Amino acid sequence: MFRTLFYKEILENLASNRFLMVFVLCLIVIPLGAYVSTRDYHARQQSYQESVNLYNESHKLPTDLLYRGAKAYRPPSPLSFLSLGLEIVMPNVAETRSRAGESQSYVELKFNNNQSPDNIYEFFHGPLDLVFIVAVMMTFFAIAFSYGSVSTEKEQGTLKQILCNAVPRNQIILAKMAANYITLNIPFVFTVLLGLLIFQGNGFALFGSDRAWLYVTLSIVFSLLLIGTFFNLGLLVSTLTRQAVSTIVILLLCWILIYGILPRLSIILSQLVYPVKSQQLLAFEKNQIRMENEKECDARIDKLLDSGQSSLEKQKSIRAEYGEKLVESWQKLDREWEKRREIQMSMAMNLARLSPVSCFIRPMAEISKTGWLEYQEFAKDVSRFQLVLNEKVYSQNVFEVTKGGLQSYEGKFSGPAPIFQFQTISNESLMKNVLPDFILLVIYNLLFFAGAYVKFLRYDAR
Amino acid sequence: MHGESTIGIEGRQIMFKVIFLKELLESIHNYRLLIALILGLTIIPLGFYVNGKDYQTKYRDYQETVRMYEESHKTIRDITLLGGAVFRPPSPLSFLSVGVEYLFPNSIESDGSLITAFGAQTRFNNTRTLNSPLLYLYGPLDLTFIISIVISLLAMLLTYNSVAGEKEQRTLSLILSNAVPRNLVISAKMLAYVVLLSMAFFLGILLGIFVLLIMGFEVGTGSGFTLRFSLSVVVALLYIFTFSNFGVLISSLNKRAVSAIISLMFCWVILFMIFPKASVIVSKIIKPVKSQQVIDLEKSQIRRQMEEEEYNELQKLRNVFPVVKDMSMPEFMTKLKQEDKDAVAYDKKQNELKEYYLAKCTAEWGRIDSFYENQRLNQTGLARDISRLSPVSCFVHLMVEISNTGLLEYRQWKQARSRLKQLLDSEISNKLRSINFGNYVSILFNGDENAPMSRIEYQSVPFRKVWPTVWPDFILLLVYGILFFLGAYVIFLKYDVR
Repeated sequence: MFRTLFYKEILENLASNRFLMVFVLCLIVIPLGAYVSTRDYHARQQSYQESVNLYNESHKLPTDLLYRGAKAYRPPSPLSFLSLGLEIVMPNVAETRSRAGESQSYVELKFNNNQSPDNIYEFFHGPLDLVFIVAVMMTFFAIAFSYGSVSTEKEQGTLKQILCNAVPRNQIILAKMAANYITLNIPFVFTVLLGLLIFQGNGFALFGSDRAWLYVTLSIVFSLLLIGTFFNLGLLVSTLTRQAVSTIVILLLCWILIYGILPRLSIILSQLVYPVKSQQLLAFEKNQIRMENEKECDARIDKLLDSGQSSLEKQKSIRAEYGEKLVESWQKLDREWEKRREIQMSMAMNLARLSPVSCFIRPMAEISKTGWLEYQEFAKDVSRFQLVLNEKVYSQNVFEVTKGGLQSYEGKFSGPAPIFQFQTISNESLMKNVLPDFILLVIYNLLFFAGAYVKFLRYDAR
Repeated sequence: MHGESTIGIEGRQIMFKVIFLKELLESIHNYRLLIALILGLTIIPLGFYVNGKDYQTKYRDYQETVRMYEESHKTIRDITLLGGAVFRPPSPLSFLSVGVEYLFPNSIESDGSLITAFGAQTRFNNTRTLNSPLLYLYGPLDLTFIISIVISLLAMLLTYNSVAGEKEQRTLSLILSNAVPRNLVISAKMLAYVVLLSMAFFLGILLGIFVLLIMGFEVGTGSGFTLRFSLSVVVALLYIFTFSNFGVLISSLNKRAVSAIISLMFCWVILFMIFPKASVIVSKIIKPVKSQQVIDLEKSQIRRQMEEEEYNELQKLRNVFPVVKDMSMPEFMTKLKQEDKDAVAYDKKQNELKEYYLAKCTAEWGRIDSFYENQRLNQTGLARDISRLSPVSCFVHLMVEISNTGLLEYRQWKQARSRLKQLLDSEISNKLRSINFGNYVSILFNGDENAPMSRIEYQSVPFRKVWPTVWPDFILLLVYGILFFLGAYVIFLKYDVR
């Protein structure tokens, strides 16, 4: 019985125009998106490689760092075709910023985003990555495939006729769900595989050492779950209404709420409930602290010079004392700010999880290594690099102030200049981070389907 | 059609009114008006509130940043030590369209170390987006989003049934079998939908303005706020008109309401997704441009090459002046002060060399910049033109430029970068003299270091510059609206009832 119902639905779908339309649109959009995203990635990768080569060439010795400053570049993510995420707006470099005529014994690496948007116009309409395709186009198609499954049959009276026969209701709804869901996903999976071929053809190792296939598979699973959520929601609403017109009206309104309103509202609410000052303001506060610290330090050294008991050792110890004080107060300020922002972000993230679309967009960015986790990992690597730089290079930069002005003496450096090593987020941390969203998406699917199932079983055919 | 000659003007007016009211009442009866009103009255004021609040926070940040900057950057000496900067205030109209404002660097800076006798180097600094990464991932709730997505979907929901539904239920045959001019039927229907949607939109806008007033939303002077706001309302109405007519057109083309709504959904995906995004892709393929990073690398290579050449020339110059060659730096400085003939001659030659290389480097950089800028403009222009095939793009172009969060503003902001460079060059770099002496470099400032430093106050794009850029989009949106109307009108008139 199930098989008959299943085939009937499948054949009905395959013969319909909407299946053809979905196929054609997927065939245009998904491979095109993959092609352009990989091209963009190539350009970013080329820029990154050239910048790193140029930097490495001119920063071979520790003294080069003293004169030219240090830089740490973040490589672009090859998986940005899955989700461009924060790739363009995330800092791509951390660099020292020395001030004219000053020797430094402690440096801070500051983040900067110098991947200035070349063609800012492309951001008017957003990227054509898999996330956008699934969150907007496929969810729309999921609605188009599910809205009429029950309500149209109710409206046309065919459901009554079916139910008059000895057909178990659970098999009807199960067959409808399975057949429509499978037909909807045939064009999607087919064209995604085509997109992956383009990805592979453009010189990416899908099965290489960086295990891209794992992330691609995971993102396809997430996509299927989101499509399933909207599909099951469609099924649920279809069982709840008597007319196809009302089903589609409610579903489109749900789409507006789930895609358009809930995720945006969650951020806004979190910002209002738990405001955090901007990073720009924090940077200025830190600069103010630095200036005060330096003023105090200079005053102590001037006093020492006036007393006539100045020596290199004494100056060194004063500088070290103030250096430590500065680092301590900066770190305290950073910790407090980061804690507040973490709270605000997790509040926004949890509120947004009320919408299945949010449970999809954020994890997809993390899986594609273009999300917040990747940025935090970069920040951690940068702070490790900063420690090494200060320990091996800048703290060795011995200099003395005399009454005539500043005299700098380079310390004794050995070996080559330290090089920044970027370690991407570990698989374990990534999985741990996206697991709640995965579970939630599964729950949404089950809940909507269970709702549709129960409602259909209890449907009064009279 | 035959009825037209027998019905007088008054009769036509009454008939029009009857059909118009019938459509309105039908929308009230099936809750579509209620839904449109609920959405209009909740989302628009909410969007205004949250974006207004966001603007207020950003503006406070901006003011605080400027205040702190001004406190510590008073004199030329402060700038040479700490660097100079220009800050961009957030756009007060970002509640209309956030556009690409979050991609704009929020300041232009030049570190003290970057202000040299070779000219000042400025760079964009973008820290804003990191404050709320999720906002970037999920997108803003501005009026452009509300209209282009929510209202256009509402327009679809209101209109898909307009003709196809009546065809399906055979009520259209009944209507047309009476002496009702067809043009009256279709015009009344179309007007009813536009009025319904506009009503929901207007009420939402009014409530939104009320919310802004309660919030104490302040607008900067000279930004043409009222004009811009009024124009954006007109543009939104035009968009509603266009989409409503589009819905009726698709409905007229279909025989069943279900196929009408499905066709509309697919068309929406094409207009909203395919045209705007594919236009960028096509322009990138047809007119590729190197990335800014690669261009910057090219420029820094040129600069390094020039510096190397200059250094070698200076070394050669020292050998030409044997007396100077054997001097130590302090000795040279003393001789220079005493206006020693050799020292002065060496200094003069050295300055000539420096000026030559500075001019050469500036000219080369200018050539590279203008070459790539032209290429980029061509690419953007092509993408913009292709995307105009979709009314959604025309609407987005208009709203973004009106709100000062688009291409025009970005160009203006880029110009501020060169203005900062000019200021730093004229007040500091041109007065700096670096004297090379072997491996030593001594930097002298010919001027008063304690003199107050001039500031650059950034001014957003004035309204008078917006219209010349956006009028093609306005006209196109109007043309689309009229075309869809005519399409629906003609198809309806030619409809074969049998």
